[in-house]
Amino acid sequence: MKSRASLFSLTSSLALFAAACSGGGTSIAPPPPNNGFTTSNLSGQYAFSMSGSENTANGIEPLTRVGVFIADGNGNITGGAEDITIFGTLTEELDFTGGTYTVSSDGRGTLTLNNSTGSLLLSIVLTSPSAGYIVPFPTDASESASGSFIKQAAGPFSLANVNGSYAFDFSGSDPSAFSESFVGQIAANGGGSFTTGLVDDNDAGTINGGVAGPALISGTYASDPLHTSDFSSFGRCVVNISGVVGVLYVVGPNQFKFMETSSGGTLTGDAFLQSNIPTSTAQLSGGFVYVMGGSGSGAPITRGGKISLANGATSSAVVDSNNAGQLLSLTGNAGTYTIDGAGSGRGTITFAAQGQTNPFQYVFYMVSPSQIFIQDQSLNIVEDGSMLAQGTSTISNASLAGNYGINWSGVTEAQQVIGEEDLIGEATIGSSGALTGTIDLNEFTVLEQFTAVPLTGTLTLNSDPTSHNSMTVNLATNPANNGLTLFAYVANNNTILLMGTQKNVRITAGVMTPQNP
Amino acid sequence: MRPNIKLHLSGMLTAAALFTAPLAGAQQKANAISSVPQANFAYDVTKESVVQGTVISYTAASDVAPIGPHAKIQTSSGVVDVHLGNPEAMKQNDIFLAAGDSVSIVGENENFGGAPVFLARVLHKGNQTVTLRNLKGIPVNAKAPANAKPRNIVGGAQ
Repeated sequence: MKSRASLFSLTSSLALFAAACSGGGTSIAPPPPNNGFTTSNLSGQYAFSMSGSENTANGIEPLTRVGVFIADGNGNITGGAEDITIFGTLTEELDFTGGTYTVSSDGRGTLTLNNSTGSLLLSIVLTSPSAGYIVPFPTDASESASGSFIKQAAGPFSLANVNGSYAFDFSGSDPSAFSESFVGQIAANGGGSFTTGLVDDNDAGTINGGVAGPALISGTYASDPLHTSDFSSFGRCVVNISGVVGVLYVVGPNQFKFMETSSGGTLTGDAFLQSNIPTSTAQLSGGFVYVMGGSGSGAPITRGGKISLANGATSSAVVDSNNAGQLLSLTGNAGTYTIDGAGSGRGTITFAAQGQTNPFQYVFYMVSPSQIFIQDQSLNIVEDGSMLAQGTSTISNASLAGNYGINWSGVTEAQQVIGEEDLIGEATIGSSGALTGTIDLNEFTVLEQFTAVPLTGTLTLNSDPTSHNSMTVNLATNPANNGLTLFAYVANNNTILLMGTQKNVRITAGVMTPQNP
Repeated sequence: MRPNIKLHLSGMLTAAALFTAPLAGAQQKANAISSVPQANFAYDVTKESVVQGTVISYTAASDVAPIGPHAKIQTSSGVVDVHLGNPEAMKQNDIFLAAGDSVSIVGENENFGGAPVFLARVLHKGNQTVTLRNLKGIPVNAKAPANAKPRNIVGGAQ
């Protein structure tokens, strides 16, 4: 499963930032349900990444963080490091000198990371002892972001840990402050070279500089001479991919996290080792769901949908679009898809919809036949996200019942101000579709943070539950946020992709991942 | 933790402001507006026009689509609803709108959420000029460094 960080980085980075009065609120919540988590579940070395917004002396700027923290299983952070990039302001590496953390029985918790400049408080939710989501809640409300963390393989790390062909999705802002999606495939030789690769660079609506087809890329990765011990200890090395300069943190042989540092933009995201890559359309078939976020001509955009693939033809396409608050839910006509016969994992999807002047055009790169990065190349739109296979299991309230980690991110209008919103927490789906849970909400828009907020709502399955389903969420913030509406798309293994459908108010995308303590 | 934030004192020009704007012809062209809402409506510089007039009102956060800053502009041919991209880009470029301001705005008419709206690409107020969208209509996210250029991937076509 692709990290959520890159799914929302565009949504975050394009945020229509604005600052307002300070404030905040906290609701009194009942004790968390016992989903089986304890403090000892967070133990070991974890790589994390996130993207969002920072209130700087210049104004509100895109922010990215990537790094590693070490948890001792007893509530203490014993070390780690991170890189921070704030667009147009700074990029730097800092070591963690300590910290603390908590984990409640529902998997929710807090993380405090200390470095030489101070402390940062974050909210976390575990989906398993190996992974979870993360949102900063600094005490001065100076930032918000959304991201993920995942347990690292055992070190020490070396160049050999980056070896093989990876599909990647990096997104954020380009050096001119326009939205950019950088999705592709790259081969590492285990010795410091990215020998070859392909990219679809949707930079502010222009694909690969206007030249048709993917662009060729190559590059290098090496230990940072300024922080030599960071590589063996934390898996951190410096990277140059065809002029995009940044750092990567090795998660393990199957994944690394990337963040742009010194080439002007704020690209960030994940790369996953490819496996079982199809080389023909006959080898990729079935139902898929997706959610993307980014920029359109209006402003922020999110798009979700379902599509079926078989032998080069698309069918049963449903596409939902929240384009700066304009909501459209369309049924796609029959279309086509292609697969690169050379095995890069690159493919294309094209279909039209009734009444629409311009077709929907997507490019994708496969991690596997069921896990896919997808980029929107429809005219003058910049967005990307994840596309996941649905499998053949029956989808029902009973099959979906269980505990989930939930995270959404996007842009919202609150108190007549537009800006970023990030939500993180735990939600339980009951056997009749009832939702209960507890979340933390960072309304960066108005510099308000709500913690331990009760969540209620309903998940109402469509007559065809493989298509979009309707979710209503009530948040007991003060004032309450009741009746938030979303579409929910169910993928393999009960991963649920979310797209906010509140007209004119929220442009958000998110995910619910089943918890496995 | 608070990173070591440094003041960024770049010049007033943004890279985005280098986009040229056709200012000749001060009246707004009435583009054909489709009756069907478009999910993939596409900004087209060949359909650009200029709205020239006086600000009636400005809000940084409209409650109608497209979400974001809107201004009502009184022109010689009526009132035009203008969407100004990202309010932060205006703020970071020290350009603010208030009732009574005279402005000239390059952009394009679109049908958005069932109502016409003028998507602003370049805003001129007095001797101030700020580019709010690129030639594809994508809003700028923040103030770009003065020497910023679009991405140039070192590699090339396959």
